[in-house]
Amino acid sequence: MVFCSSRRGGDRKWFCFFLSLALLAWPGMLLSGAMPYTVQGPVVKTNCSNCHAWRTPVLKQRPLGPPHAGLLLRHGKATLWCLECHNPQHPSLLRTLSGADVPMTEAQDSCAICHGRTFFSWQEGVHGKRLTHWSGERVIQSCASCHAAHAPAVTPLVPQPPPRRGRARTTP
Amino acid sequence: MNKWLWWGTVLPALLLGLAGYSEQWHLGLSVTGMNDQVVWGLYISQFVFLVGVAASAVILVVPVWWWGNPSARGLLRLAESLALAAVVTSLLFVMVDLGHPVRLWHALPVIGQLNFPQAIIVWDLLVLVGYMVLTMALLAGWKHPMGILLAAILGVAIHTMTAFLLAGHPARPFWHTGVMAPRFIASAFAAGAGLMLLLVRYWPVTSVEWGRLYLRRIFLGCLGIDLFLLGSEWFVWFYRHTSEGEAARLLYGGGMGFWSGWVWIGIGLKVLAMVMVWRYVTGYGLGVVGIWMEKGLGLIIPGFVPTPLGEVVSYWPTWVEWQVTVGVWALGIVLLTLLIQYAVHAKNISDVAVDSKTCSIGLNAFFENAQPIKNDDDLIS
Amino acid sequence: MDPERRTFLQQLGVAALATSTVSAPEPAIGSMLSDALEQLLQNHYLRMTPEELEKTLARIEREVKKEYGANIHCGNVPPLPETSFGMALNLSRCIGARDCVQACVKENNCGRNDSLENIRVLSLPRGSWELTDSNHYYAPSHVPEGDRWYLPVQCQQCDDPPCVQNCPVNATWKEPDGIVVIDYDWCIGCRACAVSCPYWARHFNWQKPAIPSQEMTTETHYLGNRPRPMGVMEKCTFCIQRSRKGQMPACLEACRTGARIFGNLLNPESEIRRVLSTRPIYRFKEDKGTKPRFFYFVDAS
Repeated sequence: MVFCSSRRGGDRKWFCFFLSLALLAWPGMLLSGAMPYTVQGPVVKTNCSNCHAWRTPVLKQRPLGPPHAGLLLRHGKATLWCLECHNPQHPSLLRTLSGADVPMTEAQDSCAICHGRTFFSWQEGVHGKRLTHWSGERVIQSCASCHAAHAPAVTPLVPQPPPRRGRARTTP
Repeated sequence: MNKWLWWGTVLPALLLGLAGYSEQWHLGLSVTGMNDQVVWGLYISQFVFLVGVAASAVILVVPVWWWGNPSARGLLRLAESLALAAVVTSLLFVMVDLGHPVRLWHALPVIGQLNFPQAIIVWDLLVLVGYMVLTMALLAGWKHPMGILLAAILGVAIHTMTAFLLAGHPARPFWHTGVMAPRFIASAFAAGAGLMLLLVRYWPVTSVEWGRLYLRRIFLGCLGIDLFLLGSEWFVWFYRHTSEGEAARLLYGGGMGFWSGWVWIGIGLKVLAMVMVWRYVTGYGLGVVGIWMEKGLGLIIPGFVPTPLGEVVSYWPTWVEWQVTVGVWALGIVLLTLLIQYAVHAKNISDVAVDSKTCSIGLNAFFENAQPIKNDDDLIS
Repeated sequence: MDPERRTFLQQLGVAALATSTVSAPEPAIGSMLSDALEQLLQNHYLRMTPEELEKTLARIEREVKKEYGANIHCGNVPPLPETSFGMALNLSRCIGARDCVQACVKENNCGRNDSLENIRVLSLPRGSWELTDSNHYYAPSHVPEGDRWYLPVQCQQCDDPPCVQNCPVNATWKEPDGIVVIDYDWCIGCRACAVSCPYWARHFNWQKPAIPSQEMTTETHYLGNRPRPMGVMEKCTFCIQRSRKGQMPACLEACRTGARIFGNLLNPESEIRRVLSTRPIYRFKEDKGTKPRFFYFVDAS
């Protein structure tokens, strides 16, 4: 079920095959009964449409040129192209492989195409993080809360300081 | 010994302890070297050793009860004085170890709460207090065969409970062994016999030859048993390289630095005490010191190192901790001196004779093995 | 203590107060004395009447105000019905950032002058479970380090807790919702519980805890994060002051990787039940007979 990691660069046919499989499979899995939830997380405001409203995006993968200077695409070990997730007609919308539109607020549906297993794990509350309350309304963090969509690998963190060795005597 | 010199040594020690304790009272146990990893230290190690000394009165109570030996009977008062002083001192060491001594009433029945029969500390405290009351009664001249019987049972019980107090923790593999209680009893009897043999020299009763011989046998025998049991522990610890044996490997392998040396010196002193046939008295002293080192800090610290999470830490008793320890010891020594003086004066020695006679005659009816007293000349007058 | 006897002792206290106020007209000293006396004679948490408890909570708030200059609210939220707490921790997700440790210290008003961290994150060499190889003082520039894995350890809220068994005065016990708590005003400070704990989950206030007043968490619980007196034990309480109000414990809120899962073990719909029913789990040092309700698991893929 790990679609992305089983795919090698250029092996597009198999990739699409597995993706379609996943696509067929996940609506069923969606119904597999996780607790209802509300997703909370940052929604990235893209400004792709500034240009791509009038300029068709390049469909083929290529090194990103000057207009995209600040854009780092480090998703899927550099084998993915923008249009794997973004709708070519409406760059501010995401999409599924079957072409259905996915609004940015529901980005996880797009992530689920490749990360099916993690998606279900997230949905049932094992992956990801529930916010503030363990009871009552279930508010969970969106994928993008932790994983930047264009470079989702979690970067190393600076750890908090270690516990104190021994004690600091304070005189009252 | 010069009386003035005696008090001149003990009183400053008492004051030193008092000063240390007042500092601890105000600043909390943070003035000690104990830490979150090593939560028990010098105080509890002294407690363990002293409960052993208290328990060892049994070795004199039992022969009086069983064989009715008059010479041993002459030393009974000495044993009881030593036991009472030791049990009071050991309880004081628990007191100074508490984080909140004013809340001690929580451990009283009815108005407080006792986690009985779950907590071993409660068992230990109950038998210790019982033993203390009993030794007081015996010293005050309570004459009943049941008293001697109780003393024998409680004497073994207090040290067994102290052993269980340490051995009952799977979290502390170094202590989690069934050999703990027998080892405690053996080393306690050896230490008690050694101490009494040292004290006998100041004991005004002359006819103690049998008692001396008997105590010497107990001393050597129990020391031997103790070392044998230690050897059996070593086998289990070292035959296979388990994580439970980590503390033992650190302790005996030098991983604990100073304390490794400490425990080896303790064991060395014990061995030396056993073979030191040419200077008995020095041997007793060395044996007692060896037991104090090994059953004291040499036992407590490796229980905590490595910690349950595998950390190797150090523990150093602070100056304040030593101060308090010396003070409590001094208090114990004062108590012992007073008790011995009380026992020697006020015709107590002759009381002993009557007391023991009553006891042994009373019990002879129950135990056929007991030898009836042949003539009154055997009794100390 | 039976109520009659207690009232008697309290009257004694009032009498003592009366005599003390005669010589010292300043009311503050009188109230300080009566507070001290009240604290000395305070009953066990489980034996206090609701009125006594109210008085005690108010006194604690006064004392904290006096000692730390912070206005706290000391609450006493009872256990929720039909609730039994448990925690699960995903070892594949933990990267050893210690966010939980710091959040715990702050939320629970732990003294900053002692090593009172109730969570210890052990760093172990990959491929090893040998605790003697562990290190919880690691301080690399970044985590995770490639050759280490991380094992956060805290109170496992055992169902058969050796600490409760070993407490001589019943100062620690297991609440109906599964949390092992301490009555800080009943603990005599003998540290037998710390000796018996195989997780090193209990920590002792060797001195009066130093808490900066501006960092004080003001929403507290009698059995939870109220500032502790000197000379008593403390431990993780699953943030009782939060969890009993439906909130997440501080460690969960702070964790940046979402490695921790907390919830009601009696609710079959809860995330933690999901973990227990679908993932292989591991309980730390289960061989010590402690029956922990803290579950470690790893991602399956």
